[in-house]
Amino acid sequence: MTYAGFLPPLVLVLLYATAAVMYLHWFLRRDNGGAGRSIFLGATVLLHLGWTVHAGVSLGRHPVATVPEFASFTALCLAGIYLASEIIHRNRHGGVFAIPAVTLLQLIAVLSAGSDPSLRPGLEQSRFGLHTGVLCGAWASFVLSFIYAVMLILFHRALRRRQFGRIFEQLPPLAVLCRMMNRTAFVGFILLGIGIGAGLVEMASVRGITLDVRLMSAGLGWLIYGFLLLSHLLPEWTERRTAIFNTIAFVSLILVAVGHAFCDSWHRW
Amino acid sequence: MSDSSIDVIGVNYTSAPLRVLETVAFGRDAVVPILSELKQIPRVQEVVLLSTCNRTEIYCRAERDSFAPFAIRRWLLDRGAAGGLEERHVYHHMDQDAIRHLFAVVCGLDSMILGETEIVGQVQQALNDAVDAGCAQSGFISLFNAAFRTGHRARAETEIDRGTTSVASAAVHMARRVAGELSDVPALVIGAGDTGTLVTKYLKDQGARVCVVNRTMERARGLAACMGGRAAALDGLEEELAGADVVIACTSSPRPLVSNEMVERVQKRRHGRILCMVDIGVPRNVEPGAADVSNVFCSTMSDIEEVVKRNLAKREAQKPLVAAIIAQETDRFQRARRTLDVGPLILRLRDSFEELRKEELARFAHRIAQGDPQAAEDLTRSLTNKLLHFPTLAIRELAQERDAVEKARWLEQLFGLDKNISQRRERK
Repeated sequence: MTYAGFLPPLVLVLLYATAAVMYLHWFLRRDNGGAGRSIFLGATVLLHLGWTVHAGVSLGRHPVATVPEFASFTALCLAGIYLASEIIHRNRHGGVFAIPAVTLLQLIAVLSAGSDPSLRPGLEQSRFGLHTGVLCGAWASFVLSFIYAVMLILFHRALRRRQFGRIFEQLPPLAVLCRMMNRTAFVGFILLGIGIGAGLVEMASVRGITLDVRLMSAGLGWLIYGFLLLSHLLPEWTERRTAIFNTIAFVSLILVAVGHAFCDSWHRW
Repeated sequence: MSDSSIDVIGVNYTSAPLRVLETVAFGRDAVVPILSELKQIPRVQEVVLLSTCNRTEIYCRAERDSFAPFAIRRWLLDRGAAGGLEERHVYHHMDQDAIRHLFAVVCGLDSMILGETEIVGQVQQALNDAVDAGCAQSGFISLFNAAFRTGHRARAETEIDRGTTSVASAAVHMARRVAGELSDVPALVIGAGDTGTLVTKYLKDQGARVCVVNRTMERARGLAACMGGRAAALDGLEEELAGADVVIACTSSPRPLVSNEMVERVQKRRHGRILCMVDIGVPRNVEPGAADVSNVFCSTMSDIEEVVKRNLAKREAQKPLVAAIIAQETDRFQRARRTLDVGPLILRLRDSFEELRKEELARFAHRIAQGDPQAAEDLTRSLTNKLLHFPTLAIRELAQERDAVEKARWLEQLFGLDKNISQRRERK
């Protein structure tokens, strides 16, 4: 079974799009409620998780071996990590930006399903599943951390410029944004480390470890995020600088990912 | 239709100067005797006295076209005469306007601070006092309940009460926007004056762990003891700054109490943790350069005033929406009131018909018991004749009047005659 011709991914796109509209509506109305949105999103995430497990069982392998599966699993991780962040920090403002990103990823999963290539040998192995699955989680965490970083920069700018308008009133408090940004970056850092480790073990068992562009950029990304997490120990360092650093690191990772999509030789396995 | 009218006679901050308003401001202990006195006025059915720092209003329900409202107006003028209260200071709204006025008061449209919510509690208290004194019954209870419903709708469906509008609450709001929820957050209040007291209260309401620092230690101790916080001497300010995540300075000290160097030293001790400072002291209590220290966010009085101004402007923009809700609810209340007014008439009509039916049944009971086949025919004919006796006389008299045709049409509508005729024709 592949994504092609299979209905649930499209249903999931619609459900996530509905959740995105609900979050946007709540954000614009500026009321205190909104628990219904979170429950709806939680139900969608559970449905997505159930479908992913079902797909894995039906395929007889891990469900993160192809591009559509990777996109869908990243969407699931992003929605799940966002929901956890929302519950922990009791703040659902990030959903206005995170859920559209989830919808977009799920849409990419559906649209790329038609060009689903046959699996290369070895990709169905569970070690590879651990490598890609954990990296999906890392990507999702970095996306969320990037969203929080951008929100933090906007909030900081409004505060410094004495602009007490919509951005100042609508975004989460500055200290909460800092916590959310740093915690999601920390989760991403841990997952990226596990993902790289699992990939290296996989590579070593197949053909020995060789450095390529993707591996180096992942390692560099891991170091950047590591520095970012420890940066508050530096004297005179501000949370705004952490946020700027976070956005630069994320954009760099995106550029490498895009480069890899066009240049297969950037990552050999 | 209604045989009673609703009036409001009052004075508020827009109609009279404060010194005049003060002469007719009544404390809670004076309310019940005044209500009893007003209830003694002939034709007064219900009366409620609302007296706050911004208004004194008397709501009364009296027999329609009676002089009771004017007697109440006279009473109010007499009470305030010594303080300079004149005819021009007193407003008097009747029926629809009085209802609309009450709804506007509860919605906060008529308040000095637009959309304030404190007025709801004050109106509720006024009603409770009147009910306890036996001066308000079902009529006013339903009117005031409609007012509370209107107030609830206005606050739920519009943003009339959104955003802080006082300097002290805006300062705490600013701290919340930077530091997040203040529950269990260490907060430092510099100054124990009126503003300091309010700030401490708002911080405590948010669950912050408050420490009060003041030049006079006694005053700091008093405020801290009253609010459940901690007090510290001004000498230990730097020490207290290092332990706080939120600092609100509100003294009238002629020179800044918090210097740039002090904030720099404090931030080093805090390992650069975010420090939110709100300086609402006049002149400034915190040196301007403190805002440049890393991870220190310092808001000033001008920022707070800007926030308050914005919030008030936002509330102002909500006025038409609230006015629309008030118009809807006034209309709804009036319709309900009119329905209630005809209730007794319907009851009397039914009772009268029922009495006739029983009389006729008793008169024909003997013939029915004997099984007389003509009894049912005679009973129903007699009943019809008796039911239509007075309406028939009235219609004959009505035929002599100028607007006879119009009234005849109304009667047709009342008895559904057009409908009956058409139904009979359909049956044939």
